[in-house]
Amino acid sequence: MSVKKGEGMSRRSFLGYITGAIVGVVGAVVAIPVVGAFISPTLKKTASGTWEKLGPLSKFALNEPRITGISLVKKDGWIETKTPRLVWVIRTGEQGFKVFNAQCTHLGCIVDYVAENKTFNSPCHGGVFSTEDGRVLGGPPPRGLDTLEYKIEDGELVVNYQDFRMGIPERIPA
Amino acid sequence: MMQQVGKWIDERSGAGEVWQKLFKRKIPRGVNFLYTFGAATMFIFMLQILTGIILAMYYANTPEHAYDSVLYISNEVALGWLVRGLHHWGASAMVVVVVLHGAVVFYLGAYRYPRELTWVVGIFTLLVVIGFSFTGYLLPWDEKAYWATVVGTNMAGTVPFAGNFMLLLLRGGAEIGAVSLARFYALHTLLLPALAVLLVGIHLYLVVKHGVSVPPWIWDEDEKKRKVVR
Repeated sequence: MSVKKGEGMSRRSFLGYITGAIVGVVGAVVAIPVVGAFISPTLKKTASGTWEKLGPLSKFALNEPRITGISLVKKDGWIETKTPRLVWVIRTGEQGFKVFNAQCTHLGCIVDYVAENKTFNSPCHGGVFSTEDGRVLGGPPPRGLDTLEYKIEDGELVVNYQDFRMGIPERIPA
Repeated sequence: MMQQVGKWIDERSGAGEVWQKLFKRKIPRGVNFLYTFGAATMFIFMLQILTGIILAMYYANTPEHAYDSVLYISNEVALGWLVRGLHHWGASAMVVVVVLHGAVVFYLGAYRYPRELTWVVGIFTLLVVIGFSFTGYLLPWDEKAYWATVVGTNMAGTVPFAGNFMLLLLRGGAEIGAVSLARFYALHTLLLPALAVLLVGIHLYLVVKHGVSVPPWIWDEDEKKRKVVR
């Protein structure tokens, strides 16, 4: 293969391009694990719900909203911690319940029960939810209170607790 | 486009001159593979910095959590095993390459006038590399790390007069424990990197200033032709 003098690129430019290419390849090989490890937390699967006991059925009176606490075991990196969480429970029948995640869907404050209006009110920015189905009656929340799956086992109410992302209309596990 | 950005920066900083001096400098005829070890050391050093920064984002420097955090990196961080591996093997590679570099400079007499200062700064940098190895070794806080550090600091303790002082200084106390680990971590991630950057910066400045030394097989040749180039 022969290149006449003056045609095509010089030997210097060619070597320059080759050097650039090798630097590029080596750079990419180094960048892949470094960037991968750096963005690792964004790639993690969100935790699925966990079944937690709320207490014996006798604890819950008919049509009386009751706030109940659970203790979630969470993995904080390499440390196992216990984090408290709350749910609102309203008994509608012998075996019927409505279980809501107690966090206001706006920014996560725990909602209070206001007996006079039969609503759940967030103390932070004025969010109001219906106790019927958790739908938004007023204020900034983008969606209703998140209802949680429940079951009754050996006379105990058990809830499938899960956290959802705050501040957005879609119900997406956090 | 890149040309234009480069030109904009150069007009306002004079960076083009630095680029010229650094990457377009002349090197003597006849240099061979032995002359690559300096740049190789630099490359491994950069790799250690990058992988080290990532490790520092996930490492816990207390006795309760150090080992667990290292397991977390190896097993749960995306490609964490690779970052840790590169850092582990990079550390050995660093020592190999830096010793080869020093050996070549010595063997070829490149430390002679006017490069004596370059050599001295290089030796201090070698000490910093050894410091990195020693302090980094303790951080996984496993049996090997712990006992190697007990032995190493005991060795320091045998020095006459200053021995005990140095032992207490290194360990942060009489025993290896939480204080030692925190101390070694601070040295490994803060003090030693700062020293290394400073020393390597001076070393590179001196290398560029004096230029690469003429290989001995070239001055022999030139002498034969009655040209004296040193």
